[in-house]
Amino acid sequence: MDLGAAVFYAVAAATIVASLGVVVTRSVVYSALLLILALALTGLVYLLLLSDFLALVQILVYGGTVSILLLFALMLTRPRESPVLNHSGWPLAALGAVLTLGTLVFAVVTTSWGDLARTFASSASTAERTARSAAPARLGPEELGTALFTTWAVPFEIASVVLLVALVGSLLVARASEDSEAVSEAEPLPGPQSQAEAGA
Amino acid sequence: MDLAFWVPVLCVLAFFFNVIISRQLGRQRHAVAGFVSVGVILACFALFVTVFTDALAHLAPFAGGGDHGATTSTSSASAAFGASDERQLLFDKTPWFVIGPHELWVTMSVDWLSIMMLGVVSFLASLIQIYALAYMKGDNRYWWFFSVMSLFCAAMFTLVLAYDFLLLYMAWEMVGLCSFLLIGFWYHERDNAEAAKKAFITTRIGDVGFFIGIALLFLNTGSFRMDEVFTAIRAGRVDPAIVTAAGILVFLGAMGKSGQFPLHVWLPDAMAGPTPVSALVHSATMVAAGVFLVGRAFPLFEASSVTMGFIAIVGTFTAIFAATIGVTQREVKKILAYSTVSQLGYMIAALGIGAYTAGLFHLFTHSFFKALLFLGAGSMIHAMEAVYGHHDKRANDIFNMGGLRTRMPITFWTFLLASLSLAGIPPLAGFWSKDEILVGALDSGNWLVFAVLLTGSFLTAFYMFRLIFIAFFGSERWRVVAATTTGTHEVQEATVFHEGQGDHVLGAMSDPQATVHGVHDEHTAGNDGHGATAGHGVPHESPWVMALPLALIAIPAVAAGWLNIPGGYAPFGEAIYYGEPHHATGIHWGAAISGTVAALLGIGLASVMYWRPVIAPSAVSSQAPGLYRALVNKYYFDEAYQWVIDRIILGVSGLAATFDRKVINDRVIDAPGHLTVAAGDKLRYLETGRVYHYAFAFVVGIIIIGLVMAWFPNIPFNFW
Amino acid sequence: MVPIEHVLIFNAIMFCIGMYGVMARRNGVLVLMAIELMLNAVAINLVAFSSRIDPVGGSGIVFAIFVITIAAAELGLGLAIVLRVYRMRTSVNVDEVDFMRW
Repeated sequence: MDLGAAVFYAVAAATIVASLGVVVTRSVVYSALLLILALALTGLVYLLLLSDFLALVQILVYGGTVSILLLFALMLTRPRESPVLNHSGWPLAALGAVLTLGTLVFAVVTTSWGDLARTFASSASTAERTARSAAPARLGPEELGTALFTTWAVPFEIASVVLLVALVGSLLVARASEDSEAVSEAEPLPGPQSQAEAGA
Repeated sequence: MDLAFWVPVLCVLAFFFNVIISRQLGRQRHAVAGFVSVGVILACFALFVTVFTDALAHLAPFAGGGDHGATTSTSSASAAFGASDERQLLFDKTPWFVIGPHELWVTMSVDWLSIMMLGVVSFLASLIQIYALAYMKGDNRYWWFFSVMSLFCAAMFTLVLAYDFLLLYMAWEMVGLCSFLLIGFWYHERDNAEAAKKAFITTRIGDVGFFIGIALLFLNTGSFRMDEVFTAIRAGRVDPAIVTAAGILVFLGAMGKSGQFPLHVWLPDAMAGPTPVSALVHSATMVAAGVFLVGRAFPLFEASSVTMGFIAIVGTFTAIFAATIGVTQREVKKILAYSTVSQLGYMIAALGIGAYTAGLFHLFTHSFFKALLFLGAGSMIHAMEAVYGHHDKRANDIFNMGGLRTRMPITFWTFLLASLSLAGIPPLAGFWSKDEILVGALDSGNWLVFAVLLTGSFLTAFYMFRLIFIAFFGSERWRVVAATTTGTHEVQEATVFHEGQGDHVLGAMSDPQATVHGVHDEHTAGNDGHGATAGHGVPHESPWVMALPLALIAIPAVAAGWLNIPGGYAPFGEAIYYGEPHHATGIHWGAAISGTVAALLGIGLASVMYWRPVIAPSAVSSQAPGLYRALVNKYYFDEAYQWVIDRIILGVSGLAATFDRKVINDRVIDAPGHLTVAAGDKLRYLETGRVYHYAFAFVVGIIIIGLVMAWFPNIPFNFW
Repeated sequence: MVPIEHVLIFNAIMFCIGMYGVMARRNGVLVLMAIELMLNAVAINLVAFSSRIDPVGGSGIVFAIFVITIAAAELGLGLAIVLRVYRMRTSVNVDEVDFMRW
């Protein structure tokens, strides 16, 4: 096995351990931190799969924003007493997960993945295809950007609309009626006069 | 003769008028209803007279040749048809409604048989309705009484005119309905309602048989019209077993309506109705409908000797059976009821042995004197109600009467004439008809029938005169009993006759006159204020409205027999016969003398036991106490029927009801409801509201889909 | 390089871990975290296929970008809802959020 494969297996193992940690630990904070770790390692996997742009995006988005968001949420929703984090029915859930895993693995193993390129071939010629399968190319930001704005323009627009909707929606949902009252009832900030009085 | 159709129609119109219009008139409604009804029935009688005279002119055998085809009273033609060969058919071949390939017609026939019945019914109905004008006075449903009377007359007229089985059955049922309504006229008393129910249900049993018979005939001959049916039977197109079966089934209807054994139990109870009803419906007309049916459908019965034998046996047995019960009864109307059953048995027996003219002639004469007897009984009861009060059962008991001869002369003489006629004393009407039946029995060689009927005559005379002697002669027991209404049992030991062990009202004594005075004096001393507690007077003769019909009906009760004097003037026999007219050469002296002797013996025995009591009745009854009790209790038939109803019929009904409740209701109808609720109770666990449960459901679904897709790799799961 | 089956199995493991997390965790925020795991597994899957099938066009990568986008949006909304529920109940225990039940 070459170096690339070994690195991949190591990273994969680490990711799996981290994800297991996310769902198993008793502390919410550990869970969040392990999630950040798992997502970062996923970025590393992207890198190994030769899509460095995506790796960057992953680390930026997840490591930067999602994790902050999650930590804030955990902070704001502190339960009154320290809870038990797992249901009473978690063995059944584990069973379900294992069964699903089994199904997926079975599906993967029993499929012949021999010639991926040929199975999902476009109208490219055989030479191109062999060239493709022989030497994996690198995709940089320019190519991705072009693809995003030409071939995948419509989904792009739709995604932006979805983001807008999510933004507005979360504002709406998270805003409570008490907040507006709280805002109106809040005391005004002390002005310079009171400070001058306090000083004099 | 076409006018005959109007007779039932007028009566129906009277009924509707009374029900719709008279009812609304407030206080006048009773008078209006009465007048309308009586007026209409008199009009019907007038119509009858018209039809009769017309028929005399046009129908054979009185017209010369007739203009309705070539049939005259020759034997060949009459053999082809039976009864009188000449008839006028109304509504011939006008379809009533059409079922598939069959056209059903309503056909009416005007022939001598129906004319005779028209005459009897319209004459008696007119006079009885006039009688009822006074009898029912004061009743607050007077108007309804006359409405139903009109309806009954309509139904009866339709019945006698009908010439197809379907119309006959319809009229039959309607007559039964009117009988039910009239018997239960005073339905506020439980007994009356029960009697009405009993009458209807018992006749229903017969009617079911009747209808099955009609259906059988229709299936086998393809028609309901009588002439077509009879032609088919006579031509041999019908299987003989079917002919016998149909005959017996149709006769079952006649058994029900005419109160033949074993369906006789309703007639005595039907006496709970008002007396005009008993007189018209249950003596002369409705119960005669059964006999009329046998006469009308005679070709059906005559075609099978089994049926004829059955008819003869039933009739003869009923005749003697009912007469034996009548001997021990106490109530006036019950005695007359059993007498009616017995006489109907005579008629049926006569028809059964083939004496067609004799049976129908007895029907004719019997209507008159029986109606007269019932009206007389009504008169007596009306008089007794002056002593005891309205609707008091004691007014019916002959042992509470006595000495009415001097107080009610008209009633007495007409009653006496009718009884003599019934007993068969010449030269009154009953003698001629009974004699002819006896002659028929002798002629056909039925010695047993002859002997039984002769014994029946003896018993008939006996019980009728027992009634007369007890009620009209003797001391005035009603004074005594009225005076002791509040007395105890010992005090009531006050009168003449002690009949048998079951007799607990009256005690025994030897000299009637002395004891009556003694008791009477004793009690005027003791019970001053209680002269006649419930009643308010003494019996008196009925008002002229009631007495006049008595007198008028007495005429045919006496004279009707002279229409069929054998060897002499016999237009009845010329008109109504089967096969060939029965031309008797002269009076059959053997039958005549034996019949008269039997009647005289009966009268004699009655006078010996009840008029001048030489033989005490208790001595006679104590000879055979078991038999006496059986007779008084009408051979326990009512109890037997009740047992059958209670155990068997109600048992089956109970089973059916339980099945309906437990199986059908609980399992089939309620169970799906419970099932739905139970299912819902289990299914609600799918909606726990907890997201992780739903997630688990997703997972399960994914697993299943994945497995399916993996196991069947060749199936393209393309959904686009 | 690594045979594609291995990548797929790795993804499957991560996906099932995420699924376990969704089903077994009681805290709403933790459930959302597990969902993120699942979505990431999917994205890796897409990228892996893309590197084999369409290395030139990179359609799998674009798809993965969209997945990440939508995942982020959904996380935002989900947390907003969790906060709302927390305000009502002072608890983010999914056991207690069973208002729409029988």
